Amino acid sequence: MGLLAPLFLAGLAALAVPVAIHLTRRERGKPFRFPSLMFVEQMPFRERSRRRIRHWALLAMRMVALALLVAAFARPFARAGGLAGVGGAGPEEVFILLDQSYSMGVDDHWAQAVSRAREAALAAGAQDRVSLAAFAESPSLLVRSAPGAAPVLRALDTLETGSLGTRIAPALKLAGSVLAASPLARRRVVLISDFQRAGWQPDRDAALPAEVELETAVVGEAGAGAANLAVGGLELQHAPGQGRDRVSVRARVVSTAGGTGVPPPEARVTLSVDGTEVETVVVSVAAGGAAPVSFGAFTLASDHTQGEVRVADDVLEADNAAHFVASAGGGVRVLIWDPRGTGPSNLYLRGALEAGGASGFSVRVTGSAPSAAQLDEIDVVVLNGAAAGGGASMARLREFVAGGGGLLAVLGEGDPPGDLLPVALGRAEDAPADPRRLGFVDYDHPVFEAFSGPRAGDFSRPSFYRTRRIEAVDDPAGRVLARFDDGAPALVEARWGRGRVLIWAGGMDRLWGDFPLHPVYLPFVHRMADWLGSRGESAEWRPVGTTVDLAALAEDGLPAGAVAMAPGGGAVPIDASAPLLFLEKQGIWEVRPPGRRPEHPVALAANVDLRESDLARLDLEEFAVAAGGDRTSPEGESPAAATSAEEPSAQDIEARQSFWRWLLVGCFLLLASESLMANWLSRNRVAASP
Amino acid sequence: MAPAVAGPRQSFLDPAVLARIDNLELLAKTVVDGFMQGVHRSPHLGLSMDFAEHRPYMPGDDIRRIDWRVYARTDRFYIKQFEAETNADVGFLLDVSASMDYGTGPLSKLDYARCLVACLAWFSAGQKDRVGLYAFDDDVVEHVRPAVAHLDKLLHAVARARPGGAGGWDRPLARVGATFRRRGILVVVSDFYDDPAALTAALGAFRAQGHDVVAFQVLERAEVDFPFDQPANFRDAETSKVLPVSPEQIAALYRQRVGAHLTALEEGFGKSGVDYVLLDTAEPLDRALYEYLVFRRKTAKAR
Repeated sequence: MGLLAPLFLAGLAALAVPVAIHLTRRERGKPFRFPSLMFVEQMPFRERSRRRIRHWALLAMRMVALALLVAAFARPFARAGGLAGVGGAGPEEVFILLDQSYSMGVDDHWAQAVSRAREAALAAGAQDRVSLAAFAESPSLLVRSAPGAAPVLRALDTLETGSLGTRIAPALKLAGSVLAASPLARRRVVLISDFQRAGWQPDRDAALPAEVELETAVVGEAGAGAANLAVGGLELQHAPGQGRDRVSVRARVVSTAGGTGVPPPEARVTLSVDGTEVETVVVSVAAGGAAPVSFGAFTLASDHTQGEVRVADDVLEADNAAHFVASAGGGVRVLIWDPRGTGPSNLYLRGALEAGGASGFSVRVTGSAPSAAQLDEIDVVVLNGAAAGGGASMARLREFVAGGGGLLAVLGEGDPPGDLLPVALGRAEDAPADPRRLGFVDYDHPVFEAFSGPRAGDFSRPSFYRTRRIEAVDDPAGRVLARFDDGAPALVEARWGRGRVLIWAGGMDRLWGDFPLHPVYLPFVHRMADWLGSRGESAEWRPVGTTVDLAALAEDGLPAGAVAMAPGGGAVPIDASAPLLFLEKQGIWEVRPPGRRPEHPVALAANVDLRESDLARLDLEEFAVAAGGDRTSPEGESPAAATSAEEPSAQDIEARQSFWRWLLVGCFLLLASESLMANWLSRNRVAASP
Repeated sequence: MAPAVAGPRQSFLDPAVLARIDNLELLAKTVVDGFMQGVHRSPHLGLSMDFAEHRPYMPGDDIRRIDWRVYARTDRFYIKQFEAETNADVGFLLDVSASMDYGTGPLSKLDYARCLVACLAWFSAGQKDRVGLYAFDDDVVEHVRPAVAHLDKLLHAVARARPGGAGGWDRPLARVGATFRRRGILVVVSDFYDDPAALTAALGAFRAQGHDVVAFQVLERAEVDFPFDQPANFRDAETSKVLPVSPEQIAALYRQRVGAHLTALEEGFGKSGVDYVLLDTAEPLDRALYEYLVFRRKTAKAR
């Protein structure tokens, strides 16, 4: 028990008031008229008798009523224990958040989660209200403030796991906003999830209000450390063959064992093309490690050839396969324009683009401004160092990009002419002491997306001893994709017309750092060239959750009434006026006329985000602190303080319990009883008195 | 000897009934007539031997009063009735001091005393007595000179009497002594809250002058029993003095002292030759009337 205003207890001194009144005013009422006091006057009068209290019950009722009044003003509350239930009585608003991400497909996690959601719904009383939202990367509100459990139970029957990853923060935001609008005093969020570490990014905006209780229900305790293998890093390399392209498929098999799990010593990885197994490779993957897998090249029979790389089944089936769609003509033609000449300054850049001989890039190097004819034959121009061209060459370059070409500007010591690049440049600067490193990388951008999975590349290791300062981005549509650890932009994206521009401030050779010596250099250069030269979205595969503009995909236009067939069945109608398709499930999506299937329909491959494959568990205490809103521990505060701050404040508890109302009611009832009893005694007294 | 009282008659004497009769004359007539009709075998009917009339015998009549001569002539039983004819002066001293204005029942002491005086006056007038009135507190506030025809005037004065201030006996009795010179009967109705020795001495003085004196002491039962149990402040009705009183502490002593006071009055009046009757406002008037009849018979014989 506690008191919000203990100073009011001084009011207990008022308990002496009834006694004092009794002793001082008890017989000061209207005197009773008597014919003659001639006999009374002669008698000794004993004052002591007047002070004797006759009606103890009345006195006790008055004093208890006063004590209740004082206690009500002192605002008592109970922190925990049996009394908490008394104060916490009343209808409750319960918001059930159910994790629907594909990691819930491990073993029977989904069944456990649905069962826990049913229990939470059924525990609601008749006066309670229950909401339900399923969430993966974004929440979906299925039932809002329904009385009783029935609507929630019906909604649960229709749910199944999806192919998206987990993002808890948006779900908490939704729950907080719904509960904030609730008129009920008691509010609770029941969060049912496997609580993967990758699913939670602390966000102050997602913190729940202080009066909302957060209840976490963890499913899959047993599966948290199970071994899991996933296929990621899928890359297709096109090599022109005899009339038809030959495609080599490379991938990585990643072990995402959440700590204690041990992957099998060998894993069989199979490549299937158009439903036919082409090749199987056996690889060894250490726990927590990754192994590259390369398959022999196969000849593309037609456009929209569908393929799949699959590893043997394990606890999590959704990440065991990576799908792709290969089409002919995938090579990117790159022109490196280096005013310094074709010497060693382009060694690493050119080497990376030509690595393996069958990388799909055709590379040319020039030291002078490219002519219009040259630009017509290439897809991407790499401006390595300061450009040294006139206005005409710059205009041609602008026209080339605006027409759909790609430009990679690798900044050097010199300044590009005029307003060629939409950025304000500073000087080239040496790192003051330690070399600069990349401190931020936007893994959501297609350039870096391939590196988002576990052990898919470490951009924090390369050292940059000298960088070119980018002071500001002038293009409103510009976007900083990577920053150095001092906050300065490292890679900036901009758009001119239909084309794309990337501006890199860290140098691409050994003069400014050791970036070319790191493993991420080569795939980074490839991803930049791919993205710049693709003139559209990557056609090979897309992450689940991507929205695709089908108009740009189908060169011949969409057939009338076309539908999209989802992986596993089910047709999704396409609006001809806005032909957008949301890739909700992993696998191969086919776009075809209604009622028939062409031999090779337009297809899209969707693969899961491998961040969801990491089953490592989130620290629940840390999560509870971060999700507790005002109770979140500020930086530097001790965990113990954070834990204590997580508890609701005394004001919150007192406001919720409101014992003072009951004390006042008791006080008034006692006073009413006292009045009745006093009147009754008074009537008896009148009957027996003068 | 107590009179035999019949039920219907008692209803006219009950204080609760009397309290509802505003007309004092009607009240006195009703009470006295009712009382007289219900008195059976009374040896006191008729205060003289002057024949009045015959009336038919009724069960309950004293057979010694049957006129056998008439029976011999008519073969019917007739009772001989005699009419009292004393023609004495009867002076009523009615205490209207503030202490008389007290009562917990339907009648206050003063109301009761009014009824008593009215009834006795009616009765005396019926005996052809000359009735007069002295209403007093510490002095005479209403005076009706004794006369046969002053019954109405007396009744009006009694009805008009209001409770006054503090009581006293010296000046009122001095006034009576100065105006009531002919030997007669003095009927004193009061609560007698005064020194018993002084009272007996004062009224004894009238007795010594040849007057017949009867003292009716009218008290509320609560004044004698003191039934209170709650502490309270008590205010003297005459002096307005306020005293805190715890009844449980003083009740027994109070009753003892009141008892001693009444005993002293009874003994003192007895020694002085004053007839003394203690009346309770809750009891019917018949006892007072009966006592008065006994008193008148005694005084009639004396004369």
